[in-house]
Amino acid sequence: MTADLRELLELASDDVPDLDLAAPAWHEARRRNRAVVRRSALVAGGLAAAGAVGFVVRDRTPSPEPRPSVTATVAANGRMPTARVDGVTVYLAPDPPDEALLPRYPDAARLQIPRHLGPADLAIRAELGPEGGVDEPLRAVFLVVAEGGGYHPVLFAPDAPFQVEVPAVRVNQWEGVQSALGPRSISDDRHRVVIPQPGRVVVLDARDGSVVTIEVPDPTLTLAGWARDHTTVVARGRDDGWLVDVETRSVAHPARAVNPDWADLSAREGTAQLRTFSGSGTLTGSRPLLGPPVVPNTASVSNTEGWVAGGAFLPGAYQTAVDRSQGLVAVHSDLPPTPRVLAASTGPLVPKGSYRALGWGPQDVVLFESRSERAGFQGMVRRVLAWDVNEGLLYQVADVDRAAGAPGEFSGTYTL
Amino acid sequence: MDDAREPQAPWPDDEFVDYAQARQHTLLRAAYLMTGDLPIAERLVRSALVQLGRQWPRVREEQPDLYVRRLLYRDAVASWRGRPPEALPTGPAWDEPDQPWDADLVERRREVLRALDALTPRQRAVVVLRWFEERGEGDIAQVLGCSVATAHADAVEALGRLRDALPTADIGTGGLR
Repeated sequence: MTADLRELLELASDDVPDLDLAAPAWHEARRRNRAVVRRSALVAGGLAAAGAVGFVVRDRTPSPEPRPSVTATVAANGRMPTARVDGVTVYLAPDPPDEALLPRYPDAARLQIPRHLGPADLAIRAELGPEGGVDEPLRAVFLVVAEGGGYHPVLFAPDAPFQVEVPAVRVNQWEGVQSALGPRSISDDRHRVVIPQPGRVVVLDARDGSVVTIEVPDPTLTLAGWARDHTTVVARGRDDGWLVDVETRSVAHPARAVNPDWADLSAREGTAQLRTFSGSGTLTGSRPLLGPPVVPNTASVSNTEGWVAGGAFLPGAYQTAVDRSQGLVAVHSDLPPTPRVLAASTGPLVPKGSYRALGWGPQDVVLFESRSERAGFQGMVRRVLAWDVNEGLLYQVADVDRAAGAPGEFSGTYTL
Repeated sequence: MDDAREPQAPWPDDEFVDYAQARQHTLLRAAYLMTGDLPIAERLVRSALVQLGRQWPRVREEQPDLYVRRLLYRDAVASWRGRPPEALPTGPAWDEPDQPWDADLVERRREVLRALDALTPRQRAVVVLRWFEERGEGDIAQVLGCSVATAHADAVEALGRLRDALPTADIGTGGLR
């Protein structure tokens, strides 16, 4: 028998029934509290009748009082403790183990993200081939380890009967497979997927399984995403950005910065910038962020309401004030660019770059991945969380499957 | 009385119930691992939730998770007082789920529970907190009301005993140094 201790404990308790204890406990708690109030009223009445005069001050009977803790504890409704750092509101995210106790995102059905996110078991995975494709809108794409090296995409459409593997596309990513799928890899119509490869971009149409490869004269391509005009793919290499028209298959090399989304956060000469882009991916403006410096460190995501969010390091003032060094930063591009900061906890379980923005949900809710080490060096825990940037609430959305290295297994790379 | 005139509860029922429902299964599993007995585990969780519910207006904005765990784990450790060793259950006290019977799986569950029986109540609580709930030693010390050093020493000792009790399992160091 080979298993880590956590798995053994999971096994030993996995058939414990899920009993509903909450509602009866609440009724019992209220009943007891009412009984105490009635007894108190009777005692008070008795004292008054006896003509008791004066009052007595005494210590209250000590009850189990939560002690102050250096870790942030999120309230039951997902509200986080906050701090102000030079005019910036900082929300203190919980420790990774406490993420599992966050409230569920209340409109989860609208997100169409299952509680457990990952490529399904091989047994219920179909293959995309010439005989048919996936007509339903895609919600996620995963990369699984391919036989003989590289990775295959697996397409997840919540309304489709199967998850679909695409053996015709083999992803070989020289700079880490993590960057092969980014926030804009799936088109806005949710039917097409673009994947960067050294010297080319690969466009997959899930509806008919067609795969189009467009050469791009850049052997360092690591990022590719759909611009908002539905026809342009924005690709980026180490030093250059490229605009690829997937209809004409023409490739342009603009002199200025490019980005597939409406806005992003980037670092320029030591200053974090909020940059805005046209629907075809070209730069339209740039402003420095207000407040203490932050250093964007992951791809950004923006929405049509003007919000942009991305992972960032939090040096200087943040570390001094709240003793936290990284997190997620959200800025509204139509307002003075003062960020709102979701600061990740610190500790041995929290790796560098632990938060990665995945996309926007409804009502100014940004979806992001939180990564942490499993206690005991037993792999990485990935969770999809939702941060309501207006209300300052944090929710859990999904647990992401464990990554593995064997053929057919989940690589850990995915996009929503 | 007309329902519409029913005085409002000081705190919405839904909030506590949502909170507790999100945690009740994890708490029940943890209590079961600590006690090895489902009725006792259920009683402990119910008691902890009732006490939490009574303090809900005060605790809800603070640290309800720490609060309920302190109640549950300390009561679970205390529940062993007076329980004779021969009273230890050897298997589940509820109807087996309606699933294909897997004798190996059932035996492995019992094997793990028997191994946990080799621990002291506090060691057992430390094991459940650390490896089932994935809590750090600082949190464990807060929940159990002991020092971090004590929590660490309990974890080391418990791991050694579990290794002895489960010789065919590759438990490793469990991340302990």
